Amino acid sequence: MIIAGLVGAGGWLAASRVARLRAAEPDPLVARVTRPHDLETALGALDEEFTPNDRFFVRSHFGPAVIEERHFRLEIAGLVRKPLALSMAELRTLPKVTVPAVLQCSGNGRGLYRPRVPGAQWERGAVGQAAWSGVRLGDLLRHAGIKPEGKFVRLLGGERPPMPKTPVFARSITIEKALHPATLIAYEMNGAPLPLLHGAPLRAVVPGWVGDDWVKWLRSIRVESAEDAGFYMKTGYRVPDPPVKPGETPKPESMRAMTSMVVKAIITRPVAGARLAGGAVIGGFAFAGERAVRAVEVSTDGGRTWRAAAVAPSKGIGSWQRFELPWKPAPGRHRLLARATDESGVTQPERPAWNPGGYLWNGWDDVSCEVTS
Amino acid sequence: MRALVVGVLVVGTVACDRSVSPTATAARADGAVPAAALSAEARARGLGTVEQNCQMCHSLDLVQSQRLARAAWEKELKKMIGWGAPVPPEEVAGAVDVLAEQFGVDAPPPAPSSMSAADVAASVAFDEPPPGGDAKHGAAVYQMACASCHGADGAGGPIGPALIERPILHRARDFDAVVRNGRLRMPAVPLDSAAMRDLFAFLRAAHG
Repeated sequence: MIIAGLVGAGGWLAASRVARLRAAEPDPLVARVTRPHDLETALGALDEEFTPNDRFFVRSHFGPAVIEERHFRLEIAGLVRKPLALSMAELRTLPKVTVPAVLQCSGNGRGLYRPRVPGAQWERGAVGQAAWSGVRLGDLLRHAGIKPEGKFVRLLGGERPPMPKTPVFARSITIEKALHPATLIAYEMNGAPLPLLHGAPLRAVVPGWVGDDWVKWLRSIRVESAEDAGFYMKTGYRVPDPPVKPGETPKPESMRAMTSMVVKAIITRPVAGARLAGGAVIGGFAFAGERAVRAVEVSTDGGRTWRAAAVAPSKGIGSWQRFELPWKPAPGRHRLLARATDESGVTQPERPAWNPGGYLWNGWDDVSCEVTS
Repeated sequence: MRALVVGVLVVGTVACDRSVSPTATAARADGAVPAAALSAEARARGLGTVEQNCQMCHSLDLVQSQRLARAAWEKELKKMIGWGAPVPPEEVAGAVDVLAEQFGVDAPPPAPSSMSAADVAASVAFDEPPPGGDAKHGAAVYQMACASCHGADGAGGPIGPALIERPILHRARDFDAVVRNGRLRMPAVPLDSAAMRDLFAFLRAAHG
């Protein structure tokens, strides 16, 4: 009866208006997809070094797995000398490590590409930083003993595909990245138990690499001699190299799996659309995958001139760096642009190369606001 | 009533059964009406196909937020059918027609809805199922009432999605409502409370 009522009362459009009414607290998440959840962080919630857990963006493939901790065992198998099946209690006895790292969906900014491409139409908020705590993946692999032919580590998520023909979500990372001391299997996020939508009880944390590799509801870690052959390595989450013209279909053999994120600055203060009185600070965060950020420049005249912002030092691989620039604007509307340069000299482009998956958007960040006095 | 409707809205599976609201003649950024608009009947039929065959895996806002040319819609639908969307073959062309008309490159994108942190938490809050469920008896209930559509092992069948390890098992009350009331292509299944409790116990314990 309730379902019939909703359908009869104008369907989805009416429903979304009610959802907006309900969202009375500040900075609600933007629901790109309500089921399974693809939720984008509101820009007003991104101005802190650590994005709050309950405002942190959520990306799903098939929805949260049902895992009962008392029955749960993490499998470590494949090309190892001693396969392991560890309970949460056993995992917690291993050394606990905390790293600050940016998690960003590789499709963050997809909605800004033209022509448009299929997928969740993320704009700017499928990104955030948390302090992740857990065990080093390298410690687990050393306990199990990697055989010499092991070259990749396959991470299998716990999201149950809805239909028998739907591919499972699994990703492979290189053995070098798996053994990096900042690569974790995490059970805490910002000091709290990992929330269900962020992968409880366990998720991978792969600092500097795209969110695709940060597999949630992690069930199995397998050392293998080659990359996983499933959809999410061999078809999805790939970009053309070299790039193609907008709208063009790349040759399949030119497609590469993504690993490191690309250099990007985001303006988090002022928030887009803000009304400000008087002097202000233009601020935000910049990150560059596995590299540190060397410089952030800000333009307040549409890109004609740029000024260097102060940039905080890196706090470790895959973390973001605060930038700030004092600003004394005249009253009126202003357009603010930001672009970062990484330690190897690569600068954020005005617009990145189009690609059919809509991945790795890192165009100059572009925020408009109004100054009233 | 308002609280009830709002609650249903934000709480996942049951909440997300929606109809697609057609924009009588698809809105275009330039205000023009497409040359070959679908008949009202064809539009209703195509939207019906989308409503009936997409929502077992995702809410319709994913569909409605896309802005794709016809060829891209055709490719997407083919991919989804390959992944198990049970679209009857004779309905595929009509579904592509309506997707390209309603959610084509010229239509302005819709404003997304919002979820507060409280809404998000409520949408995954765990409902403790009624105690004392008998998983063994539940397995028999499953075989009798569910297996023909959802597969002998609960991992999904030709038209019914997987039930084991799925997010719905976090929400015993929503599960109960879907079984009792039916949903989209699923008919209402009249099970008494003891059978429901045992079925849920079986599904929560099943893996594979």
